[in-house]
Amino acid sequence: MLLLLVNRSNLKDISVNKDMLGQFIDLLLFIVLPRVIQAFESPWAYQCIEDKCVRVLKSTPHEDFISLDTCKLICGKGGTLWPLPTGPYKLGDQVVFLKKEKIVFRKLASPCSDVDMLIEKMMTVLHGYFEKMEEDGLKVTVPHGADTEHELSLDIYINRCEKQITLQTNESYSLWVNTEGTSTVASIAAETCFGARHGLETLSQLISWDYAFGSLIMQTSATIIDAPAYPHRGLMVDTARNFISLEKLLHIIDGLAHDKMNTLHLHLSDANSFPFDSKRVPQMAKYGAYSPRKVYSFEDLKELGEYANVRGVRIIPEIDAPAHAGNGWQWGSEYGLGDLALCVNESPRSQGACYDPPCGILNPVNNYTYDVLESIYFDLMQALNPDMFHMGGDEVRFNCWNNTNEITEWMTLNGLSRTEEDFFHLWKYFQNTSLQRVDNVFGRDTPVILWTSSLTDQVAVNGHLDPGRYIIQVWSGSRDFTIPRLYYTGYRLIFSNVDAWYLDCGYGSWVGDGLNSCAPYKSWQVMYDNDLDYLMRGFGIRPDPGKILGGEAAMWSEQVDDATIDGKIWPRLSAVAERLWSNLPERWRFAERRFVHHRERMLLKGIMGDAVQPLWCHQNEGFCYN
Amino acid sequence: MVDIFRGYLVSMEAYGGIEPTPSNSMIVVKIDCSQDDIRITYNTDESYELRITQELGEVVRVSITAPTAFGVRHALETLSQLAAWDDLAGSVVLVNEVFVSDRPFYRHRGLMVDTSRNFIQLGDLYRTVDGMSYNKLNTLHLHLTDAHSFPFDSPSVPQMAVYGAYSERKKYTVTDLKALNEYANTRGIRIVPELDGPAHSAYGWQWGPDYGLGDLALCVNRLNRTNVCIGPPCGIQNPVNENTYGVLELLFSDLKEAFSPDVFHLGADEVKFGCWNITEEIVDWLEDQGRGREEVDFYYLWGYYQNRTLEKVDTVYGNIPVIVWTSSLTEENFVENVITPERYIVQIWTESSEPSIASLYNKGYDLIFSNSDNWYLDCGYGSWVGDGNNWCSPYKGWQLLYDNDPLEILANQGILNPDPQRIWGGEAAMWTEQTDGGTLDGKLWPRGSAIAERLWSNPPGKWRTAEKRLVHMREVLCLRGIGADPVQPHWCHQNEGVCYYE
Repeated sequence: MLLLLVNRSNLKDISVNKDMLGQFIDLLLFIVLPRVIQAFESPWAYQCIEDKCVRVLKSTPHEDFISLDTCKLICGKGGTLWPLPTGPYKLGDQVVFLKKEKIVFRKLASPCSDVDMLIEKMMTVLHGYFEKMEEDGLKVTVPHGADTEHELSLDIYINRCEKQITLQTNESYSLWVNTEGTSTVASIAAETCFGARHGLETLSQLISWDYAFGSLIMQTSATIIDAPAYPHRGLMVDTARNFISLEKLLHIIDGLAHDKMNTLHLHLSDANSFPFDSKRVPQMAKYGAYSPRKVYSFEDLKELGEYANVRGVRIIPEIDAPAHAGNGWQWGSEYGLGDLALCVNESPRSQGACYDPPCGILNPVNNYTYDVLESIYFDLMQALNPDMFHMGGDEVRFNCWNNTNEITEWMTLNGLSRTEEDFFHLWKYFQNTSLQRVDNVFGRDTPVILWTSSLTDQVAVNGHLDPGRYIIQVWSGSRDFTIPRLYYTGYRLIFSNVDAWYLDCGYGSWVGDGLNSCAPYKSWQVMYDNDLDYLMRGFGIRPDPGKILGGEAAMWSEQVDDATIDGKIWPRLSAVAERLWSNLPERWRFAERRFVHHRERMLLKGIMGDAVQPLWCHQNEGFCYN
Repeated sequence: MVDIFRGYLVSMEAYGGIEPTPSNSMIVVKIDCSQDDIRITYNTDESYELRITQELGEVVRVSITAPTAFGVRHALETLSQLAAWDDLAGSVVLVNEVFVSDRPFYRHRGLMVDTSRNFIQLGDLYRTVDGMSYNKLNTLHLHLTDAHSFPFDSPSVPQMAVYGAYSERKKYTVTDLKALNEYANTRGIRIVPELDGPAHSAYGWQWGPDYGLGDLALCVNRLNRTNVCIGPPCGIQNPVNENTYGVLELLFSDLKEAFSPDVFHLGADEVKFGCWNITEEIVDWLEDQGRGREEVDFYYLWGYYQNRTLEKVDTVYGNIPVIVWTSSLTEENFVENVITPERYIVQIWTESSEPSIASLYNKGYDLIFSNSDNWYLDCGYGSWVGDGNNWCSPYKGWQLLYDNDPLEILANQGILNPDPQRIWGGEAAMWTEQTDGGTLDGKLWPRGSAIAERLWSNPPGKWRTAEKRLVHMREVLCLRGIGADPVQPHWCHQNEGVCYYE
């Protein structure tokens, strides 16, 4: 079949033999114009009755009617705070009108100028929220409260000069809001600027747009003492199965910040593609990126890391190895380095070299493999300076190594035969050798994370991977006995158990009939109720708090990319966020009212979370879930 | 239509992102269209022929022949699928020798979008129409109202939206809908409006007493739902209040102004008799009619409602066909005495194994398929009324949608050679309890493409024969601004035939 080059400008000669087609073209001129929405006088108002916002007709004989937005702020435990504070807190039952121009920054006490600069950026982010609220509000409502003289001044007190968020960062804060006359003072005290940032985030949840009155409104009084239950609260995003653009990652960080999540774990590479354009090894992205536009440059990652830090989020990069590596690694022979990866793009059907297409596993007996890894690590260290590094380490199948002469010969030379145990030995050899390369780059004090795997299950019994050095990320199910084994061996744990915290489950299969492998879909309720204390108690363990670092919801991207990622991550991630920040003894029903409101609030900030209920439920609290 | 086609080429070049390689190729398009229909209806001939021939080196002739403008539109759509941006060539390329003779298998190929459970902004509806046109779907069924909200801002009965819209901005004016309808028509799509009744009616209907018209709806927001209604929220129209029909007639004529539809959807699903049974006004009326309070009496009442409503439809629209959903009524053996097969089309939302499908066919009803086991787009998410996942879980993958063959469903129930005129086609149903603008695209697409091929081509093959093209179609949708969900890693698009196992 011949293909012909066509330029749009050459498509000139269109002859149409009916005049009436012209009429259709006229219709095309129709343009959707922004329109001023005619306000109607709604017959509805609200009352706060028994901690619920109840919709009532204004014609009913009552006097204490309030708007829905005011009601949400002052009614019910915790108002609209998400996640709920863990310390003592108290909210008032009054609101005042406010103009965003009247929100002034009065005082900052901080020990160093780096922190001053960070706080300034954090304040800009906060102002951005109010701008969005107002922008949206003014589309609909005639501003009534705009002439208010009320002023909000903000005082911030910070103790430490800490300028990069890490696992060790003290994220606690206290927030006081007091109103006298036409002046409200909000004071935030925190050890670090990252704690203060959480305070600002909380403050933003005490303010909303009132669509009935056409003004920003604000809680007049609050006392909140708050600190997270777990230090590691995150989202994992896979950027290799499908590419996620830099722009989208920045947007995701905005969402994490709203949820007080502090960790974005990037599953940067997999067998499918290698989107990181490493400065030292440009061949990786050349051979492995889906297209020249589906890459992250060194500068992209640097920008991402800085953007995240301002929003209280740290980035943990993962280079998955030795399995889940293929595309991007094919250039070795051409460059005289031998095979860096084996069975690349082989189908799992041919010899069971992997679980899902495409196959690919690193060549652990080629020293260049480690050199390349070290170069990639070095670029990542310089771009992101992470306080922890993720080495992947999941789903190794031995068939490919077992069918490769280079491997089996090396094993023979090193006194190994070809039993399963010998292959575990080879895997440990890979793990130890690549760890040395991590040490060279990140230093020996940087903790390293591995996914649960047949290896971690084995070492939990036999040793060999230092529990002082490795953190294990549990993707096994919540009842898998590998969990107590790892715990008792002394590993610190991060939970992403597949039966509750996987965001990709429940869609149609991408390798055959039926649904995908971890179906069904995990609802926000299941995510919220994934209580790690409860989970450990299921194994008879009262966990040492220092050993359970927290968790991550996992967004594997076989069936998601920029187009639909918001709705798959949110609002469910917010459920995980409250579990990890507040870790309340209560279950999801307790959180429903606030959760549904938080989803609406996130929409306003551009995070297009999925709807979990008809909007009717948001307007009629307590009616929907029975 | 031609301008829309040009727009596709513009977006291809924009995707390329570079100055295209210079080319002297000249494309000459000739369109022959013999009929002067300017509105698409269920009777429109959508067939077309498309020919591309290369002559004299760089001149390419495209010839389109179709009886109607809507067939021409489909041909242009096909033509756009024969062109693409080519990275290596640095240009848009077009296949140079083509002959396509094409017509749809079914006349009614649609999507249903519920705009009541959650409001769908106009911009999202426009984009949905765009997506439908790329897939040669021809029917957008708007489930305009339900118990939750009443977003239609009727000029004759403004109270409906005042009481029932979620907010000032969550409503459609007649002008809005009229413009949407024009936009859709230009893209070969007709809009079928639905006003669901007597059940699924609550918000928007509460103003009757305030305006001296009595209760137009009953049991609105009633908490104890057992046997009273399907909810939340509760609510059912008052069939013995004459004003209910007056309001309906006004709504019908406002909708006529907006859409001038060629069929009208009356809903009529999920009627529970509990509410009527506890309402004095209803019970008294039944007594006056010499009726009791048995199930058969309530069916009589429901039939009365349907007949009175149909009269109003006739007054406003003339005798156009009306559609109702399957319900407990359509399962009854006396259904044809209540709603006549001459006037009513039944839209099947019951599962494909439900034997009433065959019996409805045998009673003489025309059928539209939306069986919930395969063509519901809202299934598989967390419950919105309690624990677990929602009622029609699991999620319906594109494979299921593709393989759902109405003729096979009928054949399985013993109807081997149905009258093709009576099987109108089908619709994928996007109920919106758990969807609004932010996630609509990903739930509609690319699964809407799967049902589109089933309804247009009705191929003998199952989904595996379509995989490669479906995966590519998803990329095309994204390129044209539809946020379709990916069904596979991009690797599968670049490495055909390796991902799906036999």
